[in-house]
Amino acid sequence: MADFRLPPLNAGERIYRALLHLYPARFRRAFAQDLVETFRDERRDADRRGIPAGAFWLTTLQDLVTQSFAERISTVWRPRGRVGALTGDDITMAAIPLALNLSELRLAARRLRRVPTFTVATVLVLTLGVAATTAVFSVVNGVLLRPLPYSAPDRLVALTNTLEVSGAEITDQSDASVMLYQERARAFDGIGAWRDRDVNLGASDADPAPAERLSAAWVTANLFGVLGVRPSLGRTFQAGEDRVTAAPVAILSDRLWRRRFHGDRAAVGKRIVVDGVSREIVGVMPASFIFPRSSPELWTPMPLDPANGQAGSFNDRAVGRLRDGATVESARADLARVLPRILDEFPSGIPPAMWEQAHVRPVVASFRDSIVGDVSRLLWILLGSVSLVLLIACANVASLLLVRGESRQLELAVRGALGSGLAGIVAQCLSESFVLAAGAGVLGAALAAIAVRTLASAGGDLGVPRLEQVSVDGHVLLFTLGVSALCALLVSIIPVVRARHIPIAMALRDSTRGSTSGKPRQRARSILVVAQVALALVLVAASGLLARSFARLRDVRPGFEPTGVVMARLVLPAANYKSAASAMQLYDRLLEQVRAIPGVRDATITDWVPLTSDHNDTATGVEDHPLPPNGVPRVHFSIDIDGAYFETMGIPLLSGRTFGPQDAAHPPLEAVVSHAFAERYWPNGNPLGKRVRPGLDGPWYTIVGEVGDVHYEALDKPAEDALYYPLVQHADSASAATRFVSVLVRAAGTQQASVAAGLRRTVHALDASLPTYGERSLSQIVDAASSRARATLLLLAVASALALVLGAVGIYGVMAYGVTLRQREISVRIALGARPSQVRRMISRQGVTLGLAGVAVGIVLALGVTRVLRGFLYEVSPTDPLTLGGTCVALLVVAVLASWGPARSAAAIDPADTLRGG
Amino acid sequence: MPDLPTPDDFLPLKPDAFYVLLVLLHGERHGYAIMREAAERSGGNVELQAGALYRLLARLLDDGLVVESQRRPAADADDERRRYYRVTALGRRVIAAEAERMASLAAAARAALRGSPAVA
Repeated sequence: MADFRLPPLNAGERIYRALLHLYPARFRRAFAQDLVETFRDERRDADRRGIPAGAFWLTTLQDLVTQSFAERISTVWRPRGRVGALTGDDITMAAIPLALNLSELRLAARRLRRVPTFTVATVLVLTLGVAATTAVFSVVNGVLLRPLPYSAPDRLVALTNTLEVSGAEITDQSDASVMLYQERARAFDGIGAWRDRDVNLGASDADPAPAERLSAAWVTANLFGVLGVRPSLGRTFQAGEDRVTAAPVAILSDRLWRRRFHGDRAAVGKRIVVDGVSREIVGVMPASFIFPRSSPELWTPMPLDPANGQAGSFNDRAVGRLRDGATVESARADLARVLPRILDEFPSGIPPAMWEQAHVRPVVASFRDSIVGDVSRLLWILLGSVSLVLLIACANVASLLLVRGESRQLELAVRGALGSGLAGIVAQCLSESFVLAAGAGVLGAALAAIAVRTLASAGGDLGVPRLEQVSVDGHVLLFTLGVSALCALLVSIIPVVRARHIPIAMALRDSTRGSTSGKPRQRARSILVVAQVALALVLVAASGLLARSFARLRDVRPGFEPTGVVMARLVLPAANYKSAASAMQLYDRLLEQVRAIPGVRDATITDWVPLTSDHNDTATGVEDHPLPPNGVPRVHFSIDIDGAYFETMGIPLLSGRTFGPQDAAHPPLEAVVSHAFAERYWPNGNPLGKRVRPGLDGPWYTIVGEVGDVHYEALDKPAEDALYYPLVQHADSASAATRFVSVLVRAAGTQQASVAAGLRRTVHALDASLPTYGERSLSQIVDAASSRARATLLLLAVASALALVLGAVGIYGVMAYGVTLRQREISVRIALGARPSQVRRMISRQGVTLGLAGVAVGIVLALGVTRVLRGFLYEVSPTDPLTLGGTCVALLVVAVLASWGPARSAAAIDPADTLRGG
Repeated sequence: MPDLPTPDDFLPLKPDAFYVLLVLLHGERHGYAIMREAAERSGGNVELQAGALYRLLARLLDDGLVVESQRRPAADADDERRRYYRVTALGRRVIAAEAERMASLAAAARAALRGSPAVA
């Protein structure tokens, strides 16, 4: 009926709806919607009554799995819908408790022990499938499903803005907007903000350890309150402490507290020196406190200045707690109502018309999404891939069970004849499946636990948020239990359904002759193999595409020469370096001394190292491209450098020259532009001599040189338009940018370690209070830029390898069994004069046919499925014919190889033996 | 022409089916409401999970004891429109027949107990 509406489903409901595919299609078409609605009702009810999610899902899954199984059996067995008559339901319902009976399980275990090859093979295959699925699910659970460690985390929202300056852009909040919202927004219980920064922790009487550089964060006084976290010692910040005029305080992280104060509870009340300012310690945060993408060791209150808020600098990550009854939409509307007042309260030197032009609009999104948003699709894709492997494994095992069933027909027939009825037969099949699946479940969970621990320790390198806290916990074990039970049922469906067809009397009579009754099983096994090959093709195709994409990514030239360059970061505190002259003096002496270190070819200083988290873009004016009145100038990447930058980094100078020696008293009003920048503004002309300026006013800078493009942001995005300015730009004060710098040193390959040490020593000799930090080589940085692609590829490659092996084993099994079935026929052929090569060819043809069928089905599936990968591929189309073609060929080769063994054994049959024994 | 089913074809009714029909005798219900009421009325003896309920409804629908009614907004949900079910005339006759059967069983049992030697 068209008059129904289903509100958007949440994650749990989507999973439930997907699982409904366990039901037969007819039932699903009729009742899927009702089932989802009822699921939602039950969920609401369970939440209201305080039933934990785990228990709820357990009952739901148990109902789903048993009922879907029973429904499928019923559709095979139902004579006609009779509410009162005995149906497949009753048989199944009777069989399940019979099967779960402990003595029945023990008997099943004993039977399995008697066929060790079969048991080991089955458990192994299932274990691989279960382990892979469980491991990936642990990650999905830990990263996506687990609630955030704050109180009532689904009431937390992230506040950002969209801007339209040069294209749409997403930004954080500014100090001004944070203060404005705190004052006027009504839809929130509280809005807090966070800004990452690095500080120098100095030595003091209370804290004699040497100076070190720390990552820290500025937070509003209410931030911890908004998140709902309590300190482990002392207190958090109080209202009013986040003003420029307030007394300086600080909160330590658990790590810092143990390191510098050795866990002394009397640390609260002591003082520490941060960036030259003495602060009182008021509290310590517990070790379990985390904030996304940030691990500071120290928090200080944000120095907000209501008289001076800057509306145009978007540096603060803001989190809000929704008031009861507010929704994301109503909160957004509330902020949209308030935001236009910002320039009234915080003029910030921005003309109102320009603010209008920029179309600043507030965006409210769930806090969770802002943390895991960009990985969630990737993780679900990975989960989908390992599920494919699991399905292939189940198909493989079902196939093995069919063979086993064939050889046990007599035994089952006897049992049926002795009166335990169909229920007994079903129970026997089920109990073995349960034992096998239980074994696989336990081993799989153990294997997954190991894999997960390895992944978690790789942690942040993979760029997956929250990965460090992923573990195989209660939820994951529950999942493993569910998956194992599902496997047990899936692999028993075919044998159980077949059990109905056991012609008891015939079986008792013709126990030695199996050729005719083998045919339906052989067909079933062939179908299973085709399915396995098809699924394997999808996985291998996905891996292939990712591999090509990764190779393309690796081929991208970053625009500079990373080998041989090491870097170290440095910050000059404003307190000690008040003027540009003092900063430049330090830099000049530093570079002079570093260049004298043996092994150093060149050295330079910059404020932005490509492919790191550095970032600085500025609205730029171009003299001969004037803006319309109240137009907003375009934003470009701006990098402050000294003259030796291009030489040291190996960036080609295309025309003109670089900066000369920089004199703080007479700053050179010169700039250098990248090729992309020149192409944008002067496509057929020469940029040299033209003038640009950072910001809306101030002096014009003359372009003196043009250099090659560099990827500053990412390798898989185009190289950006960039402008290079000299380190010293303002004669009167050292601007903030030039105090946060990185020193880059190009050294002969073998000398890198000693050069890095030499750099450290030189800095220390010049100014003992300046620690260096962030020491790395540029090669490491370039590698890290493609690390996530590499990790994804690795995981998918492992899954594909598993799929290929399982597919090959499947084909081999079917072929080998086929040879046994056709032993008589082959013997007759050989006796009648067929040559070994002809026999081999006949058998191989069968294998290749199976392979071809699998490939055909697989290609159709792959074309549909690989579309999902679109966002992850770099310059490779999801239907790339080369990759897909190669995958088909690979699988056909596997099919041929897998048939080789059985073909040989077929050719080696001695006809005399077989025909005599018949 | 195929024989039309008589109520006796459906006896004895399993407890699940009995309670579902009983609930529907009190008026149209949607799936979740049937689950809750059946549990209530049977004092917890009939606890249907979602899958079991809809499979039972499928049988009842196929056999003509229950029929879908027009979708309407659920009284207790926002604006979702749920599928409502109601009992048919045949369904009523079946439950009446079952009630009678149970009544006669009960009567026979009571008579037998009264006439038998003293129950300890």
